[in-house]
Amino acid sequence: MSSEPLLRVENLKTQFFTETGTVRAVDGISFEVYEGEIVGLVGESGAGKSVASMSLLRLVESPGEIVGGTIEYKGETIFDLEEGPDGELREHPDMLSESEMRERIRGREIAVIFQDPMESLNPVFTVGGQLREFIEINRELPKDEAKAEAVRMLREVGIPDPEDRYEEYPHQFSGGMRQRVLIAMALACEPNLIIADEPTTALDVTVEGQILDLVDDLQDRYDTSFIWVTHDMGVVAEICDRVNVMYLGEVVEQAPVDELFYDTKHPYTSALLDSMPRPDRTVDELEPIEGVMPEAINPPSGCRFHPRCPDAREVCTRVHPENLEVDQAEGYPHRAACVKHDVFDVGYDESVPLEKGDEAETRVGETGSDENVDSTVEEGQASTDGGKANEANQTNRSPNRDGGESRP
Amino acid sequence: MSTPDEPIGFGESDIAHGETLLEVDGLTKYFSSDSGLFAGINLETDQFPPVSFGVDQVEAVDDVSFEIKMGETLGLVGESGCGKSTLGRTLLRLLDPTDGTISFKGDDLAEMSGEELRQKRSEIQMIFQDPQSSLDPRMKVGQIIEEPMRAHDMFDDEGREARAKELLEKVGLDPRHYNRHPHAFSGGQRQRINLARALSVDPDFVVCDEPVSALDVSIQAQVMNTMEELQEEFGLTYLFIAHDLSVIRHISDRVAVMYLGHIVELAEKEELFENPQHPYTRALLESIPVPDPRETGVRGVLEGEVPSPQNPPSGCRFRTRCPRLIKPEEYDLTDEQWKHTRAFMRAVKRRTFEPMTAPEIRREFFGGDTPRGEAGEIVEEAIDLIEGDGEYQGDEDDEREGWKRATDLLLESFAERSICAQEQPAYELESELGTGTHFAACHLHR
Repeated sequence: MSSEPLLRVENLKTQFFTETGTVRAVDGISFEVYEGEIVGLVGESGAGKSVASMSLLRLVESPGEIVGGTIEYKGETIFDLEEGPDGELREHPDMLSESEMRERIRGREIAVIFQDPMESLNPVFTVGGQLREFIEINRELPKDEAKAEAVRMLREVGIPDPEDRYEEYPHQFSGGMRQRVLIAMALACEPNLIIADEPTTALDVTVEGQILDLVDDLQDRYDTSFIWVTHDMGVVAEICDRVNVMYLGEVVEQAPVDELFYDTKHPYTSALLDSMPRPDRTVDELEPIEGVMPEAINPPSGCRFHPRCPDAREVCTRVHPENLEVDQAEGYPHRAACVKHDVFDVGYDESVPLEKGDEAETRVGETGSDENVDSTVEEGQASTDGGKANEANQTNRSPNRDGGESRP
Repeated sequence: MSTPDEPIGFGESDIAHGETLLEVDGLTKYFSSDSGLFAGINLETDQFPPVSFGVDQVEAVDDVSFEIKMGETLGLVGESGCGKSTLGRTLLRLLDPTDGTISFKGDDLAEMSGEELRQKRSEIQMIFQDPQSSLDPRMKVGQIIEEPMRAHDMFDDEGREARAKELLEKVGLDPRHYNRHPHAFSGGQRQRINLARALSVDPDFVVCDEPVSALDVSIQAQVMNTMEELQEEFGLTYLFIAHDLSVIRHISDRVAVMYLGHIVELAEKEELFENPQHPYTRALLESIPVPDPRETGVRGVLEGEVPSPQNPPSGCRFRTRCPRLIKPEEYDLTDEQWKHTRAFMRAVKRRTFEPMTAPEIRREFFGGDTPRGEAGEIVEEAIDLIEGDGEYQGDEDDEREGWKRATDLLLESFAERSICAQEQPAYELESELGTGTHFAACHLHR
């Protein structure tokens, strides 16, 4: 483990204040990114991975707001709160101002590559023009030098015939080529950290392979760190050094990539791996995770995964597990938020396993029914001490039970 | 019609399991790329009269033949734009084929029209990719499932309701959801509603166009398992279209791989994945990221991009990117020399390098040693043209002239003379695994 992390995130919380209630999209996640490594942020849709990555640059828009936690980048404070004289929370004086973020951090120190390259490029300007302008402003180069640099970057990311293509518009580029342009743009200021938000998800598999190769290659040369947001465990295995698995706004497991696949410590991660069809061998029977991910507006009590967890016991409905270190591997901690590990010591072994019947609300096909939302509440009351989650359950019964698909 | 005693699986099929259900021969679908009033008229300034007639054709599906047996799942895999969805829709006559026959239970769907075709549609159904937009948000789930039955005049109101509720249960939903609207369901559940709707008229054949691509991994597995159970129970036959090879490997019995409107390989699943015979299939398989960090196999990266279907390459359509393009027979080149020449030709065509001097080019692409004989002369000529290009300091357009001539020279002398460019390949091979035939459209097997 190298000495100081490049980026340190601690207990980050981002919430969306909507009419139907507060959506806790990111609920207390912590992780570090060290120099030159690719850190994965993995999860299904609605897990909060994109909100988490946008929070790092303070790019969350209303009704969303970062409400707690610390984000430090190279010793500078991107986000922090302190307690004011009246006990209210206010922004820490060390926190970078909006203009400092804009002028020094975004693009120059931390760059972003988005999933949909068409939406990140302006269709009425030429590709080269946009890249040149970006370099001109951020690196304060004169126009002609910026243009030469732009052409060089286009060649660097493998765009054939860059002088000619410099003059073309985004619609004349294919999806993979557009993604290359965005990578060129992200690299143009030689940032130390690039946040890649599902950059290959919209691409065909052969193009995805080309882009992953390119990233590998560029990372070797520039030694850039990456935060790689994805839902694809294949991509994770291919390029990540360390991985954070997210479920419903929380990091449930954090480990070096080999450990994550071969010494999985959280039942959600195992379930995710078991539910995937494999390209390299024929799996006769897939084991799907039962049910769908609940909404972040109304998370289950205790461990948020317990209604779908095959290992769930009574204690899981009461105790909310922190993401604690359960093992060490390659000098990095292996953290898992599951009370079945000894460090938690909350009596998992003695606890009664949850009957399948108790989990009726998660049965396939019944997740959409109000009757079953009711039964969740009943079950919750029986097993918990009537905590916050239950109140939320009763008051925020959204008419649109959209399962895990809804986004804030 | 009255309420059925046995609501599910009422129409027993007359075709036995394993017999041919659908046979497609030479199916072709072209789209005209422009459809305005003057679409067929093109201005040509360099000739007289300065107009020409004729519409550019997009060859979405070109001369495709295969068959599907009763009760099997045929996987159809390919990258976006390869024509797999067009093929699926043409089979159902949602699109009119340009040419070819679609023989379904002995009747040619391509020839049918009007009421006859409409009646036939109760036997063939489709499931679409987007579970959101394929369900009418203003209709209740019950109505959605009953609609196809109403269109085909099956049962009375009560009978339809009974069947809809039964189907809801079969696809893993609660029959009490009969009166809900689609928005109350998650993506995976909506796809189940789609399944129930497709099954309501008791079809034999269901075309599934990327049915699980919009779903999260854990939900994908649930829906695929349900589809397999339903297939078992109702003896369904699926054409399963997907771009995800893992999904295809899981659900298919046989797999067809498409590239640019052609089927390039078709074999039983294990044979295709373990013993692929077409370079494109191999490249596809090698590109998938494997969810195993200890898998250190090299990623076979394909060069370049898929050519435009408006003007596809002659012969084998994959030849412009194929890592194993066959060397033209008239040249006396070693394998190593041919590899260098091929790489040089493609680099020139894609302009992936800066103009440089002749020795530099020789070093970069040929290890300093260009081939001898006729092939060598052509290579040397191309190198000269490119070198001349770098020195010329003039008008932008002229500057590119030498490079363009070098590209044409190389392509005409090498790529166009390969057997890959001259004949469309189609070979039947022996399967190494399993018993079925193995079709591979690659001249390496000639």
